Amino acid sequence: MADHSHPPDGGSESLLDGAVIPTDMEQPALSRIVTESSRIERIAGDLLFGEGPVWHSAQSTLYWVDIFDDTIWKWSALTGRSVVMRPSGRANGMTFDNQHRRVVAGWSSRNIWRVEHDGSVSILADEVDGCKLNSPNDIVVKSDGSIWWTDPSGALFIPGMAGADVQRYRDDHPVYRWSPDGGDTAVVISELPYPNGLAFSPDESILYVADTWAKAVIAYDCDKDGNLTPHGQSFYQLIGTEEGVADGMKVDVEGNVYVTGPAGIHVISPDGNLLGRLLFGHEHCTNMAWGDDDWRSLYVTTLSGLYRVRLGIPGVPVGPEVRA
Amino acid sequence: MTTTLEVVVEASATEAASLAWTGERVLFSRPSDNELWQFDPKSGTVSLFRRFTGGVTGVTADSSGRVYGCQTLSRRIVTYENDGSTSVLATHLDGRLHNFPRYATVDRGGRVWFADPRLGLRPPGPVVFPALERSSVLRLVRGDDGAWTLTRMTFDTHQPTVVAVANDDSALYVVDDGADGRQELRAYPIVQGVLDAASVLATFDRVDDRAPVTGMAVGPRGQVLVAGRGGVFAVNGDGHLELLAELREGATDVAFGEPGNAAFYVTSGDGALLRGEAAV
Repeated sequence: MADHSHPPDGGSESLLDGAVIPTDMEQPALSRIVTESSRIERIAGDLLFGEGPVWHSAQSTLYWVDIFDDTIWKWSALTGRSVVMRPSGRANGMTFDNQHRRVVAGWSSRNIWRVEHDGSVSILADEVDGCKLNSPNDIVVKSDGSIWWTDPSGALFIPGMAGADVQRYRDDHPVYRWSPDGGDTAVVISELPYPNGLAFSPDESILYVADTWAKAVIAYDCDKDGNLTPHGQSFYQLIGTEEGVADGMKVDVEGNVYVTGPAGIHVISPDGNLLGRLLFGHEHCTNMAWGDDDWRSLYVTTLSGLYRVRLGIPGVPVGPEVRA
Repeated sequence: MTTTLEVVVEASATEAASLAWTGERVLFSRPSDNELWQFDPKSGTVSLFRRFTGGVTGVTADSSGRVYGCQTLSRRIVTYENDGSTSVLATHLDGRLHNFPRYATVDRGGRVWFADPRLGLRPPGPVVFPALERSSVLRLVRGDDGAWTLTRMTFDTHQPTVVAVANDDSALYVVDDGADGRQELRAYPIVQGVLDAASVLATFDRVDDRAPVTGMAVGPRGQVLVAGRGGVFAVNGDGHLELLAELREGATDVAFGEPGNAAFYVTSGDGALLRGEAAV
């Protein structure tokens, strides 16, 4: 969920198509990530609120959402861009499970849903302990098939987001874990002000959560059974006053963490040091996904657009290839 | 002649912004706490009506007791269902999201009128939907299918902030914040469902950049009461104000209630709810 202003006409300055992504605050290690091949390619530029990108490796297709336009889109280099679903219940974060089924955080529909192979939709969770979810924001699937998502209340108060019921019922903004054996859903984090993006380290021993209101990334140790340490540790405090907030987050295979923030995307080393920022000009970055055959392309959604940048280190795959 | 007010709910750390009589209880909002509270005059008890209100400011109720709230920053009017859920009424005027509703009232036909100023506020989340160019009074009407439709009712207002409808639905009263910083209390005759040309009943000067009038009610005999700086006032036919109840901390809103409209209730800037005998 983005939290900063955006020019009303959607006319933020476009990045320079074809140019190498500019950076700042570079540490030497960033040169292995941003190379001469890290050129910006704009795929879409007419969005109201781009979010939820995820790469389908078997289809060589990127899926993403436009929340305000209430639409799920897909794009491939071969076939171009087309609508997948409209309306979408203002879908937000998306990912694929280990059977390549798309799993979606229903922001205004207040549920977690999955697209089955026959095209039907299954609701996996819409309440916990008799209490409706707030507004699921971002989502990730662990290698054991468990589904984890953040549940802040943004869709209950942001103008233009209204679903059928905008009443908030929970005191907290939890992170949930849905168990693949029996479908039980449990609160695993309850202490964060506004959890948003989330991602596991490559070996799944750490769960990172980006908190928009705390302007920070919080790290939780995670054992092989999916149990977290009771309290998170501050991993990275966002810097900068430019456009952008702690929102979407992903991790590369070497454990570097990529989180949206002021000015674009902040790249953090596994020990929590800022390696540099990928600068997106006046664009407000909302989320990102690894993609292409080698998982070295970073697809980035902004409020108004979708971009692709080639990077030097591949990302953690999504779907059946996850940690294969 | 002034009326002595009785404190029925003590002052709070936060302002009580608006109130409404539901037929049985007095409902009042505390926007900073994201709460709606209710006072039962029969038992004298006060209890929480709703949490997580999204900062509801203005509240009102129809003749059946259904409650409506102005979620100002979320740019919408909501209504509260008996199952605890909250529904959103129509939010778009000619395909565009309306502004920042601050104060609402319901007429005898169940139509919801609300002041929709631009206010210059910064809503939460990405600002994708610009405010409307005009600040108007808008009206929501529920169709036979249950769907609400939204219509612009005023075309000459600058920043309308308070509204009330005459008891016989013959007039709409609007407090409009002018470009010169003064407020005007206007009366628009309602003729066959639309507004005729307004007459100005009174004007109010700003002091210390605070709005002089923030609430309004129409009494059982048709008299217009305004709440604001200094307390509650009745507006005489010549435009003069008669002090009905003095409140040093200021009154934020006023509403009549109880059987026969025997009392009027007042919310205050320090979060209290007060009651006065309606000998007005």
